[in-house]
Amino acid sequence: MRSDLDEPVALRSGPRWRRQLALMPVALLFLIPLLWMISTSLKRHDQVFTWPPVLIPNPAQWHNFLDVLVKDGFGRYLLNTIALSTVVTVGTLFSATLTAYSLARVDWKWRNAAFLLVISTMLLPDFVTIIPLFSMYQKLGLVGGVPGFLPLVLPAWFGKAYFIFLMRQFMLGIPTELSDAARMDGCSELGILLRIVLPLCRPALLSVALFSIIATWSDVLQPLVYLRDEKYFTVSLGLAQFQGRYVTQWEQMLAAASVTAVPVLIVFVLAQKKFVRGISTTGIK
Amino acid sequence: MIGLAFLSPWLLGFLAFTLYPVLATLYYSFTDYSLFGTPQWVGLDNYRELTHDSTFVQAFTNTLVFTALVVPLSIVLAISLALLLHRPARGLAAYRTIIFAPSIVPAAATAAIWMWLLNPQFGLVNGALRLFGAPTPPWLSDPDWAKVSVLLMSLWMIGSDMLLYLAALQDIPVDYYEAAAIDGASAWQRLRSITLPHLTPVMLFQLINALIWSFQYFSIPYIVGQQGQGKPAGSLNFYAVYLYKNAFSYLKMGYASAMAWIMFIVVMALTIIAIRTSNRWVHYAK
Amino acid sequence: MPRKRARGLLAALVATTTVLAGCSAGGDAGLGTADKPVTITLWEGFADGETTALRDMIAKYWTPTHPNIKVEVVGDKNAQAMLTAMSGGDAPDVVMSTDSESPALWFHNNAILDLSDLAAEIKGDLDAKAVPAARAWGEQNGKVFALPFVDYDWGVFYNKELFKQAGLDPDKPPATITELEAAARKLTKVDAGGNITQLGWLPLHDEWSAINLGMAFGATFVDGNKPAISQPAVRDAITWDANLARSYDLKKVAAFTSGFTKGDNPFALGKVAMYIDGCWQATMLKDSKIDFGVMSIPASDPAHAGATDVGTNPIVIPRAAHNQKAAKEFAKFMTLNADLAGDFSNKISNLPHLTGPLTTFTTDGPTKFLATLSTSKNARAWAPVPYARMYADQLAAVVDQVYNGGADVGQALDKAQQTLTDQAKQFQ
Repeated sequence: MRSDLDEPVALRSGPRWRRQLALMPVALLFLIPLLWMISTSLKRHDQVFTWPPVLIPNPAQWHNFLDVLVKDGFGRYLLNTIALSTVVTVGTLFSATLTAYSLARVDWKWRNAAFLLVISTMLLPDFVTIIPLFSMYQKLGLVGGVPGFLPLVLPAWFGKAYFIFLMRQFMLGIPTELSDAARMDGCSELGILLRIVLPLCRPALLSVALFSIIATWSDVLQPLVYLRDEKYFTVSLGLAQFQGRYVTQWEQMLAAASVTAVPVLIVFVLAQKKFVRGISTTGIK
Repeated sequence: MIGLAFLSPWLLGFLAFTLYPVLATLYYSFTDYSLFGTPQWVGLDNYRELTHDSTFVQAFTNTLVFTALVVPLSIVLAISLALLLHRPARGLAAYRTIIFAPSIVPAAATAAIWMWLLNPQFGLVNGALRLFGAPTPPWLSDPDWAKVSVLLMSLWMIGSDMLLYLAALQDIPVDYYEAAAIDGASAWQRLRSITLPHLTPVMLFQLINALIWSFQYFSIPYIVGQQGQGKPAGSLNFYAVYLYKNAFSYLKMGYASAMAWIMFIVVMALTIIAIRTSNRWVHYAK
Repeated sequence: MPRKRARGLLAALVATTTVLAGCSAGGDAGLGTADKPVTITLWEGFADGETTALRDMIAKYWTPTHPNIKVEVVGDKNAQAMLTAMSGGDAPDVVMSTDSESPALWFHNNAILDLSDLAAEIKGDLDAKAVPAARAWGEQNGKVFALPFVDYDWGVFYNKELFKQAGLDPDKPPATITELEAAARKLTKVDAGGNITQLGWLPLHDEWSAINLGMAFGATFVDGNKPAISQPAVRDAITWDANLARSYDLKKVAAFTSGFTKGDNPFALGKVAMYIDGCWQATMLKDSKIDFGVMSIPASDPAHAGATDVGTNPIVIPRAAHNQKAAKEFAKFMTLNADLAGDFSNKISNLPHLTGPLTTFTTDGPTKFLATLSTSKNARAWAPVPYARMYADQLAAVVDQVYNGGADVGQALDKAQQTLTDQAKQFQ
């Protein structure tokens, strides 16, 4: 059994203040650009570019956030994106688990070849395959309107290589004796996957889910091509709207970037707690 | 058979959504194709032309240099951060969130923030360096330092990779450490003989993924290099940026497809090498 | 579910492979009627606010007189999204290109319709009213494929306050290159450490500054349909500018300018006294506290006075558009309505492409000056050829190599000439 409370002796190193001494400067390096982003999002447009820069805007323009959510329609874009990433993530978890199980835990003849095939699908950049894909989806009538979401959702349900590969790597790390024992007991492969492998993969499943959400959150290319109606825009498309031909509304864009990051950060905070408890319930010894 | 059954959803998707566009791209790479009209077969002309194209050679070299820098650095950094954030400490959740957060900042915002921070005269970074009396690099105005600047931006967004190692660290059975502690192993020995070997499956994943990612690295160099011009002095003319320009600015889809296939072959070769050598350094649970 | 769908998908796959390209437009709904109005879609690349302005304009000027043709405006589309959509069978009916250069390439590749008939129909009106320079972007070998819609051009913006501080007369800005150089030197300040703290003249930094300074040296850029980047005028322009910058050390100049990006204008911060920029800056700069003026680019010779590149927001109709009749009607209206042109120009800080009774256009001094400049005899479309986008990129690369890579002007231009000659062959 393991949790952050009963940490084993072997993991402890040095007193607490030493750990803080290591953590604090590192965190500060990552934090400063973020603080800069938030500070800029609270500026007036004419305060964004002044040298030397204004570090703490006074008075802070809190209404930038409200403008973004209400006036610029980000409330709606957020709901669209949350709905989209939920469907995509459920599909990703389903397909990545099945496929990765086949590539990591079942012995079959063409397994390695299949694995290379899976990886090879990651190697061509999206904007090369999007032209033939677009003409295909278009013939199927899946462009624009609500059907326009299908090209964004379908690939996830059939499995994206990145997530399959990730799951495979984690599944390979699980001792085979566990599934061998279950096989002896007459458990089916699906049973082994559901009862033994999946519970052990919880940190990996969480990572996959989180990554899938991030990917949906930041993808611009696919939504730009398939979603044509502003009603159905995702946050990434909304963000692009601040970049005018001549002027970029940086303060609004950064306010939107900050505010749209919040749901992902909430998911992260919830998920990272699980990372700590992780497999403590599974009881491998 | 069971293996194939589990794989079948993916296989169906592969046939419908991947095989066709990939083959189409392969076909286009042997044609003169502008997205409109019928592709005209030109044999190996596109590939031949690429060997004379100095902008292509520059893009290829830039990308190789960047890959050589970013791949090892991101692996080392992600692992170090995960080790740092694995052990309990006061405020751990906050620390983890801070390190993770940059990875969800959109590329356009990241580029803008760092262009401000790295301003040679007024930027915060050089301001801090001046405070310590350190030399102040010209960052984005110098061809070599521009690559370093982009490297900094991508390392800032390492949080999601760090997460993978954090997840993998959870899977290391505690009794290994307890046994090692009883044997009197030092912290360094425990890291080398227990922790790192257990992380190798994820390292292989990150290695291959970083290779692919760095060849397809687009948004940041496109924005920082000023709308794909690769400034300064062509140093940010990256592979994917030049490919994009050929496809959508110049309508040379055939040429861009040939570039895509060369990328495919180079990255595939590197991936196969990584996988082939992986049985020497990747440890899977027995 | 998977098997059934898969069969459908496979069938579709076969269908797609056979009809890979070349989608014909089907089901043209004509001009619509009172009970059955037709809806056309317009795609453009403007940002949020500008798109809203365009919708307002259409509602104000078009809708009342054309109840049977409804226009749906979709904004914020980049070149890639436009091309992807135009390549399919579900293309937008009208596209407003995000730049002046692309339509010639699109037309060369059969992506958009030949509008020669339509242009012939309105030739009289256009000849009488339209700014001639911008029309060139839509014409090639006697064919017309794009119609002009609100223009832009370029001038030199200068800081009056800095002029006064340096003892220069803000009402008599430099008119020749010699005067420009003298003023630039007076306006540049260097601190004890050799760091630049104020720059009199912002050196060439992109294709647009190079194009416009080149034109002020008499550059024509194209010789018929052939690229002529290494011509003496281009060489002289870049050489003059680079020598001025080199006298302050290129590294110091780069350190001074590099932090400034597109929106981050050193002129608006009072750090640069003179520079080349587009007409929209006349409006943008009102937000800054700078007291500025605009002049035409000082010329190397009086014969080149008033030189500027005139661009437009070209209206084209994709070959794959469904409602081509209605689209043509709409395109014709947009390119001929002077009130709309003036009104919309004000909203997006561009210039009307139609002269005549511009009741709706601004009275603002600098903008008015640039609007007049766009009709001068040396105002031209810099390179209305199908390879113009690539040409512009080569020019940007030359500037980048010279200023950031220490390259020799002549050698960089010769190399660019060779590349462009190779690339232009397919368009001859």
